[in-house]
Amino acid sequence: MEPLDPELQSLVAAERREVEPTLAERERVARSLARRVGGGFGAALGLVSTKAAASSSIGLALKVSLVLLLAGTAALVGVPRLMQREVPLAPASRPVPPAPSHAALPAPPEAAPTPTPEPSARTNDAPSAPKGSAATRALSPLAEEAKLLKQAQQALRAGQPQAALTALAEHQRRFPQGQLALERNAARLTALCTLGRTPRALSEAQVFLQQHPQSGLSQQVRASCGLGPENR
Amino acid sequence: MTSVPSQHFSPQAPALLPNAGTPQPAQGARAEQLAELYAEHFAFVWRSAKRLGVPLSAVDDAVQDVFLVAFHKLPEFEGRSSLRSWLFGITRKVVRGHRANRVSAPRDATDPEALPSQDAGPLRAAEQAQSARLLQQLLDELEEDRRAAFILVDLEELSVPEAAEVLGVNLNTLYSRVRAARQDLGKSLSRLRARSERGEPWNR
Repeated sequence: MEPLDPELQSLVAAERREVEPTLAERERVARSLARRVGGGFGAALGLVSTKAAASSSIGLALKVSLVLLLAGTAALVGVPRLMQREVPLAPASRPVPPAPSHAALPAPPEAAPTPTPEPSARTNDAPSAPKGSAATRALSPLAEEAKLLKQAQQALRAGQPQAALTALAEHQRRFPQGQLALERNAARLTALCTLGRTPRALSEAQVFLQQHPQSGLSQQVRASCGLGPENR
Repeated sequence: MTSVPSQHFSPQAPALLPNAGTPQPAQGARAEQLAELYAEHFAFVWRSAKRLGVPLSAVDDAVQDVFLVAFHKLPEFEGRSSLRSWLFGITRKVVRGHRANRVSAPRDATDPEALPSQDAGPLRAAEQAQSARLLQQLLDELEEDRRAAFILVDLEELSVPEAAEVLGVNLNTLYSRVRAARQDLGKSLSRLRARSERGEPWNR
């Protein structure tokens, strides 16, 4: 294996120290995802509402300090997950490695991260600052896809398969080759079979099952259309 | 490097779209699974998106998209690969989509990475940032598969077998991609060095 050019090696070391998400970035994306996903995502990560956070006298820095303290005593149990993972995350907090030899491909080290954060250009981002954040910008195409799929989900759960089909048709029109096309097709079959297990719906469902026999979505289609395991 | 446990989610993840009338728990359980995934792998996905070429100003959006896709595809996850492999695959696809969008949209002039490079000052932090930016520029010139191999082995410090598993290739292919990536980067660096010696800026 070719050794790394020494200059390239120093760039790699610098990059490893530099390219690390900040706590603010982790929290900002989590909040945005919580709005899209719902269903306890934010609670599972220990996120509190922005309003509550703003009125709380315990700031983020204090929370992080608490986590670091707890981490030091190996007592992380009960600390919100979002914060738990920040211990190894502190930007540029890894010890500067002594120019590793790249004569051979490196084995994965289990470097114990130090909890002392080093100043970073992004460290002081306000976690809840909405300006320019992912949450407030126009939805990306993928987020638009997810939004339509979520509408269909909600309609199905509300017992409104026709409304689900409308949302899914919109998804099909706007994102025929979308990243969530498979999910759309499964949802469509679920809606069709909920409306009535017509020969056409069953035929389409069987094609889906043949094409995706191992997918978890197939279980959903099979259940909705009353197709047993023999249709695998 | 953050160690990532090798545990897998159960292939029997809750259904994406429960039948009409199915109560809420399936959705809630899946959201909780996503939270677990997020807590464990956010940093890896964030670094990967950045290293695969998403500008800093768009990394949050890209990472959010990765986890949105993961949320919707959790029922499809069969547990044949590790979650990290699965997420890296999603990240690569999402990054391709972001790149395609950026082709039609001019780069944001307020993106700090789009601003002309400042000469490295005496501050080490500035030098470090500049080094990281230079490496990003070099990575941008790499062929995609080589870039992914280099990211996993030389930047994420995965072992060769781990990286091969993530990329779904055999060991020989992985070795050869890493070797080629290193050679390409070395050549690019030499070219930039020569340009710098002629007094030309290294950044485009």
